[in-house]
Amino acid sequence: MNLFRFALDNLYRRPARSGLTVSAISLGIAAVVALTSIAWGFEASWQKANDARGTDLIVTRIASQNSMPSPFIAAKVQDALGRLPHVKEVVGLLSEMLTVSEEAPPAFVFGWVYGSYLWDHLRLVDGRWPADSDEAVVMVGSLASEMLHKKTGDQVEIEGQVFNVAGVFESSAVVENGAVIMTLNRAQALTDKPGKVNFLNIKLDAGASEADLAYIKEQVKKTMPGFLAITSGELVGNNAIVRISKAMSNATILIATLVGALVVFNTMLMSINERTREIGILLALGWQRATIIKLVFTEAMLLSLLGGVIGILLGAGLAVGLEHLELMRGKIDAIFSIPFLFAVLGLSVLLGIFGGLYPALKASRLLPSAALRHE
Amino acid sequence: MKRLLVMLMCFSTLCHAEPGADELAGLMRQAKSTSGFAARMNVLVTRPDGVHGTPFKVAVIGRFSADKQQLRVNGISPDLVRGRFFAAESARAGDIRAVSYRAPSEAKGIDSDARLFDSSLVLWDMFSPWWSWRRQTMMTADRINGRECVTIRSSTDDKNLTVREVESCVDVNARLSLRTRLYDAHHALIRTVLVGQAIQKADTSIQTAKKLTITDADGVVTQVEVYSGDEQYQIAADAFAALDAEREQKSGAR
Repeated sequence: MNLFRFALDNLYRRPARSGLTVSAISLGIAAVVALTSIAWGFEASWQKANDARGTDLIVTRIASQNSMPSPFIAAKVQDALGRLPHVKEVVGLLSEMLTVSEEAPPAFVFGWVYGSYLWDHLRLVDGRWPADSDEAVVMVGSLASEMLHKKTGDQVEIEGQVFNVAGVFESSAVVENGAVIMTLNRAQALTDKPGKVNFLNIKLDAGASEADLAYIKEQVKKTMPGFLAITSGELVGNNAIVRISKAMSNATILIATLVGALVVFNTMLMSINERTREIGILLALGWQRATIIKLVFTEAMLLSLLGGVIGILLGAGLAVGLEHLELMRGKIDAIFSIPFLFAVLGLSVLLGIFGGLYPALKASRLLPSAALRHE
Repeated sequence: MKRLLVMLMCFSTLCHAEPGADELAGLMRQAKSTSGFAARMNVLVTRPDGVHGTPFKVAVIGRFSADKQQLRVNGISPDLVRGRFFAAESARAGDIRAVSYRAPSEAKGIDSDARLFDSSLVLWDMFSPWWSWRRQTMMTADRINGRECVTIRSSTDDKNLTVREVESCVDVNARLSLRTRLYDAHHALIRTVLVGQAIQKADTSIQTAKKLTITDADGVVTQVEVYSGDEQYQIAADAFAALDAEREQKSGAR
């Protein structure tokens, strides 16, 4: 009988304890997988939205505690930004989280400058685009269309005003698919923010380099007090919700590691105590102390690896399930990368190492004569 | 050495002492100061029997400067509140004049402490005029929703007012009253305003309420949640035309 088989049999002999240990580890790992994939997905989705639009830099007011920067008069800085080198287009964006239907949770309502490059990446699925900058119509993302039960030709009421749905679009970013878009003029009128935007999106020409990007950022800092030029990645990184979700996932990783290691530690220690005589016999039969250590480690690893695999599947299922939950649809887009899943599996192996270390050493230090006397 | 110790003591105690009641009232007045703001909020009224009213949305715009304090509240949705406007202004003397209207030319004077949209929203409260009253007394420290605050009692003998005494528990750093209790002349509680969640104003440590609950003495509970705001709202020239129109109507009638 080889060592692996021997370790596996030892775990089979105590199915309830092994099962409970695997369950505890898998729950911890599932929480890590679900929370981390959602946090990353949330960040990536916003970044994807900005990248898909072709925005190179975003100018906003220096962030406050609010997740969405305070609106500002676009004209204050728009012209000056347009004069900076390599700047091809500067367009405003207004964004609000508003109730679009009493039956659905609030959705993002974006106001984009009519005819600007922001619209270029959207694919029209049905209907038509707004005819001009003042037309009182909205475009509904494919996911929003499903959630709000609205299609081309229907009407939606936003902030007490009725809009016709001109068309349904699809975007590569889930945030946009779950949103309602109208022209900036209409959004400003709707929210009573004439001339205001949350962000100014800058598109640079093809000749712009990283150095040019840095120069523009520096110029904004120097010449436009109170304003900040950042890349979409930096903007998303600064977002309070992203920061909170990342902090939560980090805290979960820490707690899951501690709890997982303690569970493995407890299980293995109990197992060693119950099997003191057995270990004594093995030592008396000539087993090396290193072999005893290997045996205990193998058992700990098997428990944590199995917990890890089940936890990954459970966590992925949980995240995907949450994505489809009515309240969350269009707001989260969980990301599972292969390196991340391997890292989680690595984490479960670490749990086995940390949890099995002391019990393995304790077992190897047993004196065969004392172990055989153990009742 | 002695001198150094005295200096250190000064820095650690006197120089960083908490503001007194009058000073804090002044700071609260200052914190409200704005050339223009706008906020949109969801409002839910619960009757004393536990029955919820239809949730509605309102928009508030206003300005608070030394010489001009004006507020306008209007219903956004549903139809029940849409198009209904209320405006009020505070004169230097502290009197608050309020009107209600659908079109500015039809503005009619109303009581400034009338309930708006059958909720516990009251224009008079929104001006928090008690911070300008002459009698301000510092009371005990308290803790509300895990946040420390100091209680200040503001009182007045003005017989024209329904509210004669206000107890505010103020988070001094945030310049925000976490709980405000309004009493009548017989010290009977009229309303309690409790802040559930606050957000920081841009570029300052000053906070403003995001979620609050107003509980009336008769058991009506109004929950308010701000979902959109603009700290630098540009007030249109005709935003408070209804107040002028009502004033002209009154003077014309005389």
